[in-house]
Amino acid sequence: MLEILQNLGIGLAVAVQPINLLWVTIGGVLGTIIGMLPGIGPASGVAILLPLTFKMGPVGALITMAGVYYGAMYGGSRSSILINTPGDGAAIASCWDGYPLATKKKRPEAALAMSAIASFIGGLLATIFMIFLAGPLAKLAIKFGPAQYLMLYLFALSATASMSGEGKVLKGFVAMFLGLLISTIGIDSLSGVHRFTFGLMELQGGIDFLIAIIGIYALGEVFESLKSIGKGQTKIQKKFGRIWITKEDWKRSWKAILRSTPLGFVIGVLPGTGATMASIMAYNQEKNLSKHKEEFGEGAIEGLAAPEAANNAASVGALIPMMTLGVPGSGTTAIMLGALMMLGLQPGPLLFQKTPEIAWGVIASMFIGNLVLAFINIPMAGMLVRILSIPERILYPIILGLAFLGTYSISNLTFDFFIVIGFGLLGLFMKRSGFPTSPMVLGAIIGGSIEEKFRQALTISNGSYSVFFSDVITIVLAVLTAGSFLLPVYQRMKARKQAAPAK
Amino acid sequence: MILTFELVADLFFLVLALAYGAGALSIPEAMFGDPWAPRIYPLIISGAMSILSLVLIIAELKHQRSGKKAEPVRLRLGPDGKVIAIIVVLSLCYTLLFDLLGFVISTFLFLEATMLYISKAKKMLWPTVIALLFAVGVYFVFGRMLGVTLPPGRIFDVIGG
Repeated sequence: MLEILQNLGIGLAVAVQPINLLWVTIGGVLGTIIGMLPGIGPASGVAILLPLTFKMGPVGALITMAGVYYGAMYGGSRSSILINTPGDGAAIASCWDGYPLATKKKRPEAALAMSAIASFIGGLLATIFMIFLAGPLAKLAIKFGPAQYLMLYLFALSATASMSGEGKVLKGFVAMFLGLLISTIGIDSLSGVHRFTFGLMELQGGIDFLIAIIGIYALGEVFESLKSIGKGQTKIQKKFGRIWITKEDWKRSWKAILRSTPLGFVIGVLPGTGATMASIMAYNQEKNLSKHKEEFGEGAIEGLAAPEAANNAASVGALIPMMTLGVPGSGTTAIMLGALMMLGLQPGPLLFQKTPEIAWGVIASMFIGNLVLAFINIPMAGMLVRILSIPERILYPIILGLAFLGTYSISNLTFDFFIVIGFGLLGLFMKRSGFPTSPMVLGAIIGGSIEEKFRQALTISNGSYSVFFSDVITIVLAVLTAGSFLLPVYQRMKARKQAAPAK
Repeated sequence: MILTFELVADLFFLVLALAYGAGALSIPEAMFGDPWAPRIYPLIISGAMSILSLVLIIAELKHQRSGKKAEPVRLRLGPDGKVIAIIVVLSLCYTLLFDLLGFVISTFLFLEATMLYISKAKKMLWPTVIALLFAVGVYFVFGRMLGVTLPPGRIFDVIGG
């Protein structure tokens, strides 16, 4: 306990430095805006805001990126409530009761306030959970050798691919292998041999996965959104009364918030599952527990509070494996990992051991960030939602401009514009044909590390593959990996058996 | 058999995986250590990806045989395909002009062109103002304050001698 307080003290000392207060505020505001705008979510947001973080140093960069991530969870619900379009994937469950609450029940003020309050409590409690979990996990991970890391990476990949949704598991795995394939392009770091460079000098360093991500997410999303252009935008409400909730609202919602927060947090920590799944599960859980199920979908305020608390808690939870193990479990945290590596910081157990002020500084900044976000999203909500009335014909070109700017700032090579456009088209192609993109992104980012650990482990064991099943940790991880692959297969077979007699 | 869009995608990934595997076999041998070491990992990826894409193709064909509706892939660009194609062409032009004209001019032209195209050139004023503000603003904030190197434009070297 004393150790935790000490760590927190170190962190707070860093987090309250004026410059870091500025970064967390900027990150939170930008995150809220990015979350609000349909078409760009936290993953593409972090990717296109990368050039902003270059001069900040690792602490500032990590604080800002984390702020963008959980800020997007606050912002996403604004558009769910007001225009029935989730600003990002994790806000989809907030449409189901948030929009009816604002339109049918004519209480947009209560909906905006409740979603921010639930987000605030969810984010704050999850940060407290994180403080207790991060230290021990980092200590455990310090004992990991190459074989253990390899199995951990494989579990993260396999879990992400198998969570791709019903009937898409195989496609998820194909996408994952595509990501691994991309990661092998360039000079092999262990032997110096050229692989798949086709004699092009620009490919010797490999395809920078940050550029691949900007292409897939930012350009891909814009291309996909272009088809809905000109269909007319929904007019949004710009004038509000006092944005707050009643005592009755609170009475109905507080239990839902407290139940959804730990659920969201655990789902966030697990690889593969993210804020989107957390919010949907929290919504369903509340609906099942409720005494008046018929009100769900008609503007039940607890049906809005539950997913909002859960998605914020999940976004905090998702940072844990990324920071303590160096293993990202989602698209957004994978990008953060990539960005940090570019800034010369290696997240993982050593981050906590060698530079505790960075690790704990970021965690402490999340308390402050949630306070700032509650302020931005409640008293200033009326002002902020005006951003939603930016016309698409102006918004999309600007996103494209920012994407190219981000690409150029990473490599200073105009050649990479071709790569980014190529990946934008690949992202569109995959989306249209039902291949999920996040397993591919994750594969592209950790593919290099996987090969490195694989070959290191084999060198240590003199080529014997038994090293991958040599201790409890590797065996547990192997079983989990196999389980994450077999579970959807089993579920499908079960569903088929049940469906068969009906024919 | 109907060539659906899904089937095209599955085939694309199968061909990609096989070509990649063939490429992996022609990776030069490592100078030291196990000469095959740089090839093993790509070969595993190629093998697994080929098998999975093949399974997807078989599943898709089975699905078609069971009489589910299947729509053949169209080679024509739909209306939204045309919008995307033009935006891609504009992006490629931007890429080609980026170093030559420099960040400010090429970005202004790119934004102006995309905005005018998307809005069907109904209003000229706002897109022009915003494109100008973005190009100049970004150049100063990122190029000057945040230290991102942005190309000033080769054309000015020529003109300025």
